[in-house]
Amino acid sequence: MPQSVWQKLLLRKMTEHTLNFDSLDLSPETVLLEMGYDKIKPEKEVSKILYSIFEDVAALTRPSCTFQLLKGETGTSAISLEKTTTLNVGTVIAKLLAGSERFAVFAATAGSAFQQYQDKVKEKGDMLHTFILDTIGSCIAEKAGDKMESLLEKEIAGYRHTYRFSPGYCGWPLKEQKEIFRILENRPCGILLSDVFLMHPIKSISGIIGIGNNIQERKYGCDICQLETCYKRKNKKKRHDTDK
Amino acid sequence: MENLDSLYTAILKGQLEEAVRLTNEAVSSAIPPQTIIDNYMTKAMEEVGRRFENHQAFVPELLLAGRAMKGALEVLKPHLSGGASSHIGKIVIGTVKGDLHDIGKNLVASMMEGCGFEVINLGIDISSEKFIQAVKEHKPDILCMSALLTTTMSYMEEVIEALKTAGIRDQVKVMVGGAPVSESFARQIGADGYTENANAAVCLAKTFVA
Repeated sequence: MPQSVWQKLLLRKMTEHTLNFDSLDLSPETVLLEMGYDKIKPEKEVSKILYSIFEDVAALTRPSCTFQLLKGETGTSAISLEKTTTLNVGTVIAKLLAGSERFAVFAATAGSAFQQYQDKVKEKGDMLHTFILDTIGSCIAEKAGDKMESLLEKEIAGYRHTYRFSPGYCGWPLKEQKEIFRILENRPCGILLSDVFLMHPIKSISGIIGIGNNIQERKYGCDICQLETCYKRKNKKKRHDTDK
Repeated sequence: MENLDSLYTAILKGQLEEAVRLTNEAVSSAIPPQTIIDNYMTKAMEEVGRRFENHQAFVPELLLAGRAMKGALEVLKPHLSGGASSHIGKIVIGTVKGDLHDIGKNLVASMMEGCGFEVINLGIDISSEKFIQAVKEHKPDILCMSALLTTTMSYMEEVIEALKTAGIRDQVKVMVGGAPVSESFARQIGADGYTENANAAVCLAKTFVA
């Protein structure tokens, strides 16, 4: 990509994209898979509740996403963006971002309408409904993240990009959300950051993606991270023990 | 009345209305409540727990069964003799200070209730003072603490220290859980137990009140 095009991209005003729920390519079957139902079918009651909630959610949810392109350099455990901001991503994520020439700082959310619906369901106190809705929300946030990546790919056509990485994973301190939000002008897609660095709406994601032709496309995984307290490592161990 | 095996199946499959109907019938047939609980209801919960551990059932099935069990226990409550309680123990539970996550904690609370524990759910962002106050007031058998963040899990140790300072550490078992928490962390902070899911939490809690 010519430098002039890059320059234009880097200077462009950050755009928030409102997403059509149908465009997320999310189905109740995907949610069932997320809850663990692969070979085993759920009880009829579970399916009934899931399909009913899913219909409500599809009608009211307006997810959105945004990203900001920045110049930067990767160090051994940190990234310097525009020579003004340092993100202490840790050695694991820094390694995964190595080779990046540009970076996209992003946020995506299921949105405030979903959050309000979730609050109402929670208030009723039925844990089964709450749990199913929570799983749907997690799926929506991830699918909104996928859409954000598609939009990014259109802008950086011809370049490769890394997977997305977020504060709170693989040794990147959660408090660094503050820097991500500062870059994204503090309230991207209406997402608020609390004083303990949690996002609201809860079903939101944020983080960074590396861009360049010399990057390695490697996902998070226990082979690249030694964090003993990570739930992904615990889940992997559990699956391993069960399969024995 | 129908065979009580139907009650076992109703709870196992999480059929609340059917479980309540069959429990009412069993009571009308003068079957001792403790027999209904021990031989059918508890066994159904144990079976759904076994299926969960073996990946033959998932969290929604646990919740469905817990809901049916809770409904059936409500029917039996007035019929328990000699002032006996339908509860097998009392639990105080909360998410520690600085942490606002409650799905996992509520899941454990729900399963504990379904399996016969009385549960006092303090909510989220709970300070050590509030935990201490709740232990003094409710005198639970077990205090359960939850955290989803590596930044907040260390607060569990503060609560345990506060229990010691208040002189009530020996009066209550302490269980901890949450995504970043581990067995070694639990040992390190002086908790009595750690479990990695709601079903295992119920199993461990039962051993503490046995």
